[in-house]
Amino acid sequence: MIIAGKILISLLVPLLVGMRCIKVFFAEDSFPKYAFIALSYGLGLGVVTHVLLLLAFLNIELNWITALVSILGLYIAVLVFAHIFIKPLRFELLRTKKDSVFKSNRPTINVIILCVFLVAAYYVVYSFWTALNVPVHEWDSLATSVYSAKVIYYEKSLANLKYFPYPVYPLHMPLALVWNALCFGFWDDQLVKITFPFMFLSFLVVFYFILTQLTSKKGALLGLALLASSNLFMFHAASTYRDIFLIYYVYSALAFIVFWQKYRNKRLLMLAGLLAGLGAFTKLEGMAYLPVYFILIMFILCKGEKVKLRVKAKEFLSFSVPCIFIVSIFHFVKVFKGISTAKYVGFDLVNCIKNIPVALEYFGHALFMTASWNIVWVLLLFLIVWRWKVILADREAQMWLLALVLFFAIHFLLSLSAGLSAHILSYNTISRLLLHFFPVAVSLIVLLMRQEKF
Amino acid sequence: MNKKAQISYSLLAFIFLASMAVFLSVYSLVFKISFVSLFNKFISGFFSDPHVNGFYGTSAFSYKILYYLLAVSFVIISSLDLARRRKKQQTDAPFVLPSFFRLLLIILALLSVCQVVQHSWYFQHRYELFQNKSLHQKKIQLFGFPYAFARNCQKHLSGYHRAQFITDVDVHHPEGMTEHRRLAYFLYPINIRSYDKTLPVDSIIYFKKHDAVNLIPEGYVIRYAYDNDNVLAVRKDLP
Repeated sequence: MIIAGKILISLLVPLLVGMRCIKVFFAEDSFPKYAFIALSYGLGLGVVTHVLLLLAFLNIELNWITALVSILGLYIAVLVFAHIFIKPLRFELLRTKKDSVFKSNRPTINVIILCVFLVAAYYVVYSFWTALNVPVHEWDSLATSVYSAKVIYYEKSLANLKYFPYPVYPLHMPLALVWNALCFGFWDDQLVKITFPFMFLSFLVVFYFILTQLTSKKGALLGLALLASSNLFMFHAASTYRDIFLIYYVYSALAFIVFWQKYRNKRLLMLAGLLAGLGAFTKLEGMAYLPVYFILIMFILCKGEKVKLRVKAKEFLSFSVPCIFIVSIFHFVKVFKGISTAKYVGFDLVNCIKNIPVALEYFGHALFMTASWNIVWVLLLFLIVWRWKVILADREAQMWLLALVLFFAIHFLLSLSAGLSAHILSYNTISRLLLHFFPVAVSLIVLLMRQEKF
Repeated sequence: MNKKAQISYSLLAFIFLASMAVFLSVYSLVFKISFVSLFNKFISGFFSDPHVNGFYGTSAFSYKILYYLLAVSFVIISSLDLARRRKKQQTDAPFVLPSFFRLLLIILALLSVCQVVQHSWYFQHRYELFQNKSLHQKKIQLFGFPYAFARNCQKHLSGYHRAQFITDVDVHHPEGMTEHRRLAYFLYPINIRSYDKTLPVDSIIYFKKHDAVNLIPEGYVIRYAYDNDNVLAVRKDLP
């Protein structure tokens, strides 16, 4: 009973903090309740881990009291600041559409929808069962991320950060586990995983919400089914890898940029900036994806409506300031601790050109010849060719496609570099890299299918 | 879904399944493999057990067959469309691409069903493996000796300690590396991995080190020995 209460606290605190943060920008009823909660959890968890990071950096002993008092202090500060300076916006455009999922006169459609619900529910149950019944056992977790979390929890500081395995790796996920352990009062190889299924569930909810903004609720459910058709995605839903965290942040940041393109409200960009920053604090790849967001925003600013340069600059800053602020916190800690990422950089043009066929082969194989994705990539390729004219006429589809191309381009170019080719061009890494933007591919499919009559 | 669409979906599913049956039958005859085992190999390619590093291995055999079947189905659909349009003197719009799209949806749905079924077996297997077991039993089952040894070392040496790690295992080789990482994780707060190596240590972990009991340096005593090769030695003055 006591442990159940502790688990509840470990989940509720990030949720409440996240709610407060979103309420700074938007009134609560700007989003459907379910999306508001799911977004709050991810955002709040990011704030909590940053508080822990700063406490540890300032050599304040990490424990339950210092963590909670600091979070509470921050919560009150945000509350007061927002009350004085910012009026939350009531943004009705993102409210749920009125169409109902189950109100179809065609029984076949209702049966399919029910099946999708059941499959999604099955995977959620599996994810929760695994989190609560199987101890941490994945290779990367034991070797790096969860190991780092255990070290931080016992040392109660970042004094030895320099000697961590891969000290350059961001600490969002390890600190999220530290937060859990601080709440429980002990380290448990099973219970600390409780964040993972909740992140997975939050992502599913956010994904569904975002798809409802692109298409009908039935279309959104179809998107959920496409997502669930990927073995690899479902594997990561129940693992202790950081990837599910990264997918959550990358996808939501991207979606809010696309929403901004549609509704042109700067607060959407600010939220996107925060989420993108948290993505960079989750995995190194999150950092590599920052150019995707910036290129996308530049593209929208250049190709969009004719507005004054000053307005455009303000819009650009609305994203970049919160994003760079979040990114710079961990980088500042790393610089201060004397940790460098320089050894990973290094391009050799001849080698790059030589690597092109090898990289193509690896990417092709990972996309089309493994049990990871069902035939989702084939379906996407077919739809892009078939629906090319639709893409040319649909700004939203162009955004998602551009984002997808940029994600691919980043990994492809990095895989050509001397320092990273051996790392990226392995089936282990490449599959997980593709996973980060797999939901983007699904969104594009859903968009291209929305006018198709089945 | 209207009646026409239902007929179209049924026809496409029939074309695909018939092509598959013919192809696998011919393949099994030519290469003298039983149809059932060939079918199993084909289907299981779409859900192999995930690698512990978080990826699915190659399923080239299954996917090559699938793409071949897709190509055959495309030819059949195109021929049907051509025949229909000739008959109606090309007044209708071609249905090749919409039909092919529907075929892809059918295959995706069929594979998804197979995946969910196979995943449920995988889940059942894991359920039997882990349910009604204590955390300790689960860890013994998952990690074996490194975990058991680490746990016993912790019983004999509590609190934070910097320890030197000595082994005959090649920790740069995947197998040895896995053992080392597991040991480091479960030993912590006996730290064999993440500390400034210039600082003095107060204990030594001998892991799979031949005749370790006879290698203990002066000033150290054996605190725990699993056997001659796996030993925890600590500084004499350590309480």
